[in-house]
Amino acid sequence: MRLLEFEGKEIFQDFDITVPDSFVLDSEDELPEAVEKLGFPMVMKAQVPVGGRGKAGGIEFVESEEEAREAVGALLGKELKGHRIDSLLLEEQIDIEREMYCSVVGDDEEGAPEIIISSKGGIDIEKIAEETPENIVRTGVDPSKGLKPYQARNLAKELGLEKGLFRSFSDVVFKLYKVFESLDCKLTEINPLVVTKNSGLIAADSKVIIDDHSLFRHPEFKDRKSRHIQNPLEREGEEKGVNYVDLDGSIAVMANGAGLAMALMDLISNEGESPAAFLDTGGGLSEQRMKDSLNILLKKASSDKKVRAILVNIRFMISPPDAMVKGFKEAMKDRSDNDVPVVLVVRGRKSYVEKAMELLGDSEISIFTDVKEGVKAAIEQPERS
Amino acid sequence: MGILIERDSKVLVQGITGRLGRKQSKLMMEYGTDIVAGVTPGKGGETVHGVPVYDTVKESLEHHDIDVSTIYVPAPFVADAVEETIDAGVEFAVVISDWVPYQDEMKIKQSALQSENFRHIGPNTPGIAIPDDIALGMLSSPSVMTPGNVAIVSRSGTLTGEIAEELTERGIGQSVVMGLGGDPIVGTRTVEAVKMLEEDDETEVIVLIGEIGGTMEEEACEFIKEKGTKPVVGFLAGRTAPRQKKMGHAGAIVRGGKGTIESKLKAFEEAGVEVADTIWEIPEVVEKLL
Repeated sequence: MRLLEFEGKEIFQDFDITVPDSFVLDSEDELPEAVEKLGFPMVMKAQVPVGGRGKAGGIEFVESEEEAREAVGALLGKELKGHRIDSLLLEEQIDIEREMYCSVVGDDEEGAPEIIISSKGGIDIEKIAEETPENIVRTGVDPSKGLKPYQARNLAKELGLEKGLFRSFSDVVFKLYKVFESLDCKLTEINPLVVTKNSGLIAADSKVIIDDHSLFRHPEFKDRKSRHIQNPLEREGEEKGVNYVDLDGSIAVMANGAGLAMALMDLISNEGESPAAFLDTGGGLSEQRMKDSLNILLKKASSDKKVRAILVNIRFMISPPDAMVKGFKEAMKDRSDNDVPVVLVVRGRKSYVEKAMELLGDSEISIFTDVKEGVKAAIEQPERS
Repeated sequence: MGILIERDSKVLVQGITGRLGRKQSKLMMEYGTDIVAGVTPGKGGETVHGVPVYDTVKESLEHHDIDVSTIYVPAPFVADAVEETIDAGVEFAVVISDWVPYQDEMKIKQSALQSENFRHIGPNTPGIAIPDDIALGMLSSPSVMTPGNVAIVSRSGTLTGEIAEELTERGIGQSVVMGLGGDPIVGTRTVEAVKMLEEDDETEVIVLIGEIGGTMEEEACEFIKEKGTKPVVGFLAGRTAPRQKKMGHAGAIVRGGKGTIESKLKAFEEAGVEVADTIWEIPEVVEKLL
């Protein structure tokens, strides 16, 4: 889960990393209060959990109350890169002497955190790595031991920083690692880390990605996961714990496994059709999960008449089919439209496959045990009006 | 021979008294797996399907020879369970549990790297099996796999079983079927599995099942290109997935252009890996190479 910039900065502050003076604005009414606090010039930044906000028009520099009002009108409540803008982060404009970079990122291959620092910042780190690799220093950390302050100092030394910056920069590196470790992050990044005219260091942006699997240790973030997703079905998927992706084709695809669902989608595309949705039900074949999953696709079909069929592939490994069948029957009963055909392919453990077919014999779902036949049946469905 | 497991490996199940551990142990035993002991802290002295349960891994080793542990404990306790296995001296673990925190996976990985003889697959793996003899994890469905000399190495769960079944239906048997796990940090990476299969007498053809994200396929291809002697068939799930959307398991942060479908297909091509465009094509491509 990626936090919003202002949430990341609140955490930075908790760890004693300096951030600009700011105001989080949720409605236009709060503008006078914000102006009184910050004055002009001021930066207004759309709070959505994606990168490239500047290029997409989500960041405005304003000099007067009139310009500020205009910017609020243009941003608040609007959509930016698939996310609804619920709030703006208003900040004082800082005096920039130069921009640096600092991040801690999980290295999957090594299975260890990696610290990446650079004397250049403000642009994408991949770009810095490409253009001026000599400006970057990186090092791995043993996650069981954590980062020691002296290691942070050694790193800062390698960048060849001048006297005034050496201590403050190594401090920031050390604190940012603490954020990474304490909040079970996959990534923490400050880009740019601004050096001000009087040699202070300010985190001008924040990127914090918290590992979803660790939320049982950080319950305070649990309810934040789905809030900015614009598409209502994708939001519902997130809330119900299934992986749903809304697409624009003719066959809605669902399977109990991401790989299996993607493979099914590829098959559909290979036949010259395009998938209307991707749904991975995630772990287990519980009644609730099956009902929720099929329900989302039925809703998709009822709001999007381009959907000609729902194609489901359930592979039985260790869970018997009874709960799954119950969930499917419940979902079919609750649907508002009756006109979208549901094609189900069941494979895997033979005894469970046979049982599923028997239990679903009296339903409106067409069942196949061969993927090819199931795909064919789905794509042969006529257009709906 | 075999890789990582033998036909008669003695198996420990950690978390055997839990709902999942109990159910899966029964299915594994029905398949022919020799489960000799189970561990659940606080449940020592009980039995599950006739298998004795101990409080600690160390204690189970005092009573049994154990070659491999299959781990079903809930996510928050997985790191501790794996460390316990390593410390007790078991040499191989299959970590079935999913939703293990990322930073716990890092700690497990470092402990595994620092130990001398220990290796694991997973977390979030469907398991490993030698058809008709032994199945650890979820690959215990009878008749889905059949003995032969094609190895399947996969990153997906249900897709692993699906591809084994596709091969079996075409009369192509498997030497070993293994899932490496769908998480970003796994105990055994694709390249390590391929290296072991290169040495395995019973494997003639290797089928690699990858998906978008991560760099495991690219890394494996570097080895195959330099040193591989056995034919490899590659399949990638998610070829038509839109780029901006997260569909795969790992959601790994794409680094330096690696991890995309294009990068993986290019790596396959350069390494001489035969690519199957769809799951249906896998048996056809394999047949040509046998």
